[in-house]
Amino acid sequence: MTYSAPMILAKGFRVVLKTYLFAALFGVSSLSFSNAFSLPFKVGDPFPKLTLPTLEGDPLSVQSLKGKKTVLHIFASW
Amino acid sequence: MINVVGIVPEQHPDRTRLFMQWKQMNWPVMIDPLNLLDVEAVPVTLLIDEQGSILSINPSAMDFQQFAGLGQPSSTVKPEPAVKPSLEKLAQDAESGTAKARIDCADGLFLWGGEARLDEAISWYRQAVKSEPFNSRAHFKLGVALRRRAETEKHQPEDFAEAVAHWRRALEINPNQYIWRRRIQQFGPRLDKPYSFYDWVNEARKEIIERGETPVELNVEPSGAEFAFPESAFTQHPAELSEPDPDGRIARDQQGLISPEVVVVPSTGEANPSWRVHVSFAPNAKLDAHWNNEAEDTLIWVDPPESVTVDQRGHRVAIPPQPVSDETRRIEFEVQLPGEAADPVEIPVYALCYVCEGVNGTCLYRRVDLTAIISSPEREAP
Repeated sequence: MTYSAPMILAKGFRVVLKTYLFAALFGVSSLSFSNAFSLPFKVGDPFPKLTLPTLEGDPLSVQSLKGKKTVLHIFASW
Repeated sequence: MINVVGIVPEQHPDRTRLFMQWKQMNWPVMIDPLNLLDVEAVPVTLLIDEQGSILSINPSAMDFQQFAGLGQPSSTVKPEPAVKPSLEKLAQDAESGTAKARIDCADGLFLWGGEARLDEAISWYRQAVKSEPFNSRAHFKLGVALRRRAETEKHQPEDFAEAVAHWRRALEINPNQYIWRRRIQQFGPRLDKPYSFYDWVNEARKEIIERGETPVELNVEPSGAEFAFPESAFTQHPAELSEPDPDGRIARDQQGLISPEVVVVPSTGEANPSWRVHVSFAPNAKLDAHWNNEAEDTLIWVDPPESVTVDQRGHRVAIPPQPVSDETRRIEFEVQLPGEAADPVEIPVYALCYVCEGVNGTCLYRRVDLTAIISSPEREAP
């Protein structure tokens, strides 16, 4: 399985960027986050080792994506 | 090359699939309904380097642009394969007795074992909560698993109510965990909602169809509470009908052909408290009971004490087109109490419906009564 098709990633990256900026600027519904909340990790930390199922049921972890840069967006559809 | 990956901590991650189809987002998404990542709120965006270290948290647009422009893929860093945990190994470890091992086992069974292993996951979570009653994460996860089971054919009568109780206990222990707070608010009253959780679903389906695509199916349709919008003042709505059996003359369902269930979800905060009451009626499968749909709709009446306000007293559940069916029929209503209300407050509710005994049995018009009990939080802790 590969997630590195340039067209897909370029589009995905744009969507993340657009979603993120929109949320940051206008406070859309899912924007619960503020800097008042603590996070279980900080800049410089290795991302926690955690294997989770994808929407398709396959195992995936951030460690399995090593070797390439990753934008990780933790979000909810609400 | 940049990987773009999502993680969603929703109770129903499959709804994200519809959201992504709508927004034409086609990057991989990991599902985390148990919130194993342990974030307190969303969204959070991370930029992660080739070694798997976090470069930036909630980056600025400039950070994004720099990240996108910097460097090439590293050929010296090897990805580590993502492997499903061995459920057998987790079960062996859980038998050893530590609460952490039990929770790890339950997590694995819940995420990777499917519906077939859900009962085991719940059992391990229960043991963990019993041995560590102040383990807020265990309470939350038990609630997630119970709510999941409430939506399956293995549904037990108290699953949803217990789920809410454990979520509330988790939030009571750690009131700063907004993922947990949102899980309760998803099913709770309008006065406590930060927003409508799934109002986008219908709009998404419409737009997807207009594009010539077929919307992905959801495992579980959002309920009324999940569509409901927040409000700043308690609003009463006109009843859809007048009281259908004011003198109590309709024969009661003495045989138990209909199984009623009531779950009360309170506000998560103390300011302006209200309650959302979820009421359901299902034909009793053990008696092979089923609805008769050749007559009129199921009518449901909420009859609160004089001082208690409900948003709507009369409800009508439309019958489906087929002559017989066995679906669960649901209504929801909201409650506001006067300051001096007794504790607990009992709110009688009844349904009038046509139900049949067995496949070729007699069909009867029956009244089913139940009571919604509104208690103060102190009396409800699990």
